[in-house]
Amino acid sequence: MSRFGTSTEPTPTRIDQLLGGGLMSKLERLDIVSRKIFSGKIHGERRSRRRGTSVDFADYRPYSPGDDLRFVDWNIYARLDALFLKLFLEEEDLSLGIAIDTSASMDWGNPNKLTYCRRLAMALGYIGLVNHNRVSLHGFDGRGVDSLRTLRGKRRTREMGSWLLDLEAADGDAGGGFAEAMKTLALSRRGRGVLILLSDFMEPSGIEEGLRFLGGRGDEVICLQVLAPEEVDPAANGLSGDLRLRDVEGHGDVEITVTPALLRAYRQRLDEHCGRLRNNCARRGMRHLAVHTSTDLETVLVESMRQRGLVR
Amino acid sequence: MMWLTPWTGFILAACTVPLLLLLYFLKLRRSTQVVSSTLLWLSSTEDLRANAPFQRLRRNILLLLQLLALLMLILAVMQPRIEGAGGGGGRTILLIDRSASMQVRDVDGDTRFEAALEAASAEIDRLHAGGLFGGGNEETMIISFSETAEIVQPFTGSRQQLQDALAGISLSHGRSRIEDALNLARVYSTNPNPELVDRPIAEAASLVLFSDGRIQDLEGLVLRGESLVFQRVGSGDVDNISVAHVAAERPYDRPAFVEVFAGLANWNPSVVVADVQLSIDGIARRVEEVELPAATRDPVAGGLVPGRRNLTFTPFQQDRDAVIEVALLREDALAVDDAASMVVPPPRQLRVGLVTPNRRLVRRIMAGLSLQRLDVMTPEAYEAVTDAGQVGDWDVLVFDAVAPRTMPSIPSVFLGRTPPTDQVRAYGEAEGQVILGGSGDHPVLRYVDVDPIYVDRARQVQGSENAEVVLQGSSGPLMLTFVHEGREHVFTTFDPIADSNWPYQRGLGVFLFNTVEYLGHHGDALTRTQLSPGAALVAHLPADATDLVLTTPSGEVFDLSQQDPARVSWGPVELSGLHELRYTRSGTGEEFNWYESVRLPQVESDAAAAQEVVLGMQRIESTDAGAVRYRPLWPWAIGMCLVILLIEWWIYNRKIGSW
Repeated sequence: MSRFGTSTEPTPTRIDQLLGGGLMSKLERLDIVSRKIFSGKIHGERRSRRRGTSVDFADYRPYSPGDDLRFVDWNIYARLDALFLKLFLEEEDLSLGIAIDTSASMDWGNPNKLTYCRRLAMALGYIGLVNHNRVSLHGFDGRGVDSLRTLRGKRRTREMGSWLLDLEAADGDAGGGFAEAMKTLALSRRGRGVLILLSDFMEPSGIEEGLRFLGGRGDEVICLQVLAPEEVDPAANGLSGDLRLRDVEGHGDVEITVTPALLRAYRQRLDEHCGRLRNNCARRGMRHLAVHTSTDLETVLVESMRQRGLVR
Repeated sequence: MMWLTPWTGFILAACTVPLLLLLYFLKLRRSTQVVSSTLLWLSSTEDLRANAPFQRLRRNILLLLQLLALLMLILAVMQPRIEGAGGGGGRTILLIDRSASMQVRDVDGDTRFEAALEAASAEIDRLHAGGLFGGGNEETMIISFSETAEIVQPFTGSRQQLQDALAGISLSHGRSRIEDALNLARVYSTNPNPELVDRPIAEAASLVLFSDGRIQDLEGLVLRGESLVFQRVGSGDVDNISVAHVAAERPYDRPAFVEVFAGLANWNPSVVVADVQLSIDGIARRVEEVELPAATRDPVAGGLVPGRRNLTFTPFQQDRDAVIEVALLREDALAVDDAASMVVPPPRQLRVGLVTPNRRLVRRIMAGLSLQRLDVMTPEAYEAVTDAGQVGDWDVLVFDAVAPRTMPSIPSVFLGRTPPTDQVRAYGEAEGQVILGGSGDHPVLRYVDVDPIYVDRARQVQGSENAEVVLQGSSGPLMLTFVHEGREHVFTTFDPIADSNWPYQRGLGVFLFNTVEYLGHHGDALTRTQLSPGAALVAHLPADATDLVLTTPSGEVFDLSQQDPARVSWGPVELSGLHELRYTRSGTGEEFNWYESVRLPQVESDAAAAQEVVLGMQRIESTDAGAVRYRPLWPWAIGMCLVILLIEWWIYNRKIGSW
């Protein structure tokens, strides 16, 4: 039996270990859902706030000198003897940001939470690339934010995979907190779009302030709370006896005697913690989904996220 | 308060208390487990806050409770007890054995009875000690028992009353029988007042028995909820020999001589040689040395079988009445069974009055008997005597085919005429009867062949419940005996001379001889069985006996003048030995003595104190009387320990959140 919280599977070293070929073909049919409409940078596949040149009719407006005569609706001119221009919807690209918590607490669990996040980020990023979105990746922890910016097109998949493979977890307490990292992330983002936050949100100092920084930017934030099976059901995964629990981030030790009552209390605290996060997200217009690392990645993407309307 | 094993407790405390404290100073050895975050665990657990030893000891209720439980356990090991504590407010019944075996002097120079009284007195002091552990509502009753039981003091809380009642108990020479005492105890433990609904119908009492355990009627008795403590008095090793019985006889050919027989018993496991003394009227006549065989144990019943020896003294001349005493001249533990006495009346020939209408046959038969005097008289002459108010000095009266006008106060024989008494009632006549059966063992029919008798005519009578049919004919009773005013009489419902063929058989003469002898000597000491303690003493004195005074063996004097001399009774007798009844005959002014010898029950001579008493299936071991009784407190300490542990367990579970 493996040690409590220690991953038994090897750390991925190749891109195909992050995202298999079978899953890639399934992901190509998916797209990230954005409830908001953002202005893009360049012409893309997603409807923009701007009027543009797509085939979708949007409106009419009177002609003014200098307008492109190609857009004058001559049928109306024949009937009404007045010049009107046809306006069409503009399709632009979407800014998709994926932020991965690389704190020490993420490098724990069986399956490992950080590895799981790498795969999940790879899959979500691949969806973005396939749909010609501008994909940015961010790794954040107490040390700061490490970013890989503006990837577009499927051919950038390898670059994205390499960056994710090189992503390393912080060793112990890295100093700064979650709020500091979110503030840095919010300031470093360019344009508005969809930001997917992958973290366990186990922050002693609280997550409200960090979420407030993110929510203030106008991004559509999706919080994916990644939990290891050992965190969800410690007793079933081998936690028993008289123990000294050591926080991997060095936030102090706790001595416990595992009893049914203690486990019940822990479960209650975990539910409260998740509920608090969900309420915070809802209050700020963010979306929340708890993901267990024991759940198959395809199930998460194709079923859970689709059911919740995060992808389509 | 006393401690039985204090040092064990101290050693235990010295070992365990520091160990418990040390365990609390030591950290629990926990394995380290790395987790992603202790955020949720911190808020979940309250277990083991700080590991600093003194911080832990401070306000640690669990340690405090464990120390307290350990302290209680150590107290229990030290076995504390309280001296003289009361019985906890219950009811106690003291049962005092006052039987003969309690006279054995084997308790530090005192008799067992004295030791029992002393122990009972101490028990009363203990039960009614007052103070913190005195038991304010303690009630005690005293019952003494021997042949019968007697409530010496009903339930009371007064120590003085109990002590006074205890001092009033006297010894008896009877057997030790406890059944009556237990019944009395149960009766008095029952709540007779149904209005007192707060009390149970029967309150089981605590019984404390002060006895040597030689109780005769234990078999079949059971305790019904009562608790019994047996405080034994006396030892199991008693040196005792006894006079088992005494008998005397006047040889037929030499009525002026008396031959004495004695039975001796040895209760010791070894052979004993002792001198036996025969005394006549208090004067030693003979001393003989006898060797008594050792007592043996009955292999089946387990009881002690004494070594027995029968002794016959050489006949000696004694032509008047005498008190004979056989005594063992050897000191032993129980003196009261070392002597036995009996009364031998003087040789006596009977004076018989024959009332007859001058029939020759009966007169001739009576004249042939060996009598001191035979007065033959006609009915008229007899009535003249009675009319003159004289009783006559006859021992027996024979009414031959006549009936007196009033019932005589002398034992009488009625031949063929119904006596004037309500004991028999005549209602007709029956003819032609044969004998169906007779009471062959009755003295009046001894050696009489009744089968050939044919009765031509007889009166049909019905006897009262006091009448006994001696001879039964085909149509009704032919011969009865009955008691009238303490005197026994014989009545033949047919006239033997005129109405039967009996005169042609020799049985008639034998019958008349038997009847006169039976009625004349009935009640004489030689034929009487000796009384035992507990029975009533009954004497039939002459009708003119006055100034009746009874003197017991202990010298106590009782005036019985108020009683009818025809039937003087007194009892129950408590002591063995010679009881003397002195009276004066008003006619002559002479003083007479009447003696009754009461025999000590032989079972009381087996005086070795028992180790236990067995009531039903319950064996009750003895505790030595006089020992100070203590109330042990260790069960309370154990109980407290358990309660504290329960509380500690509850608090612990509350702390770790199991509940």
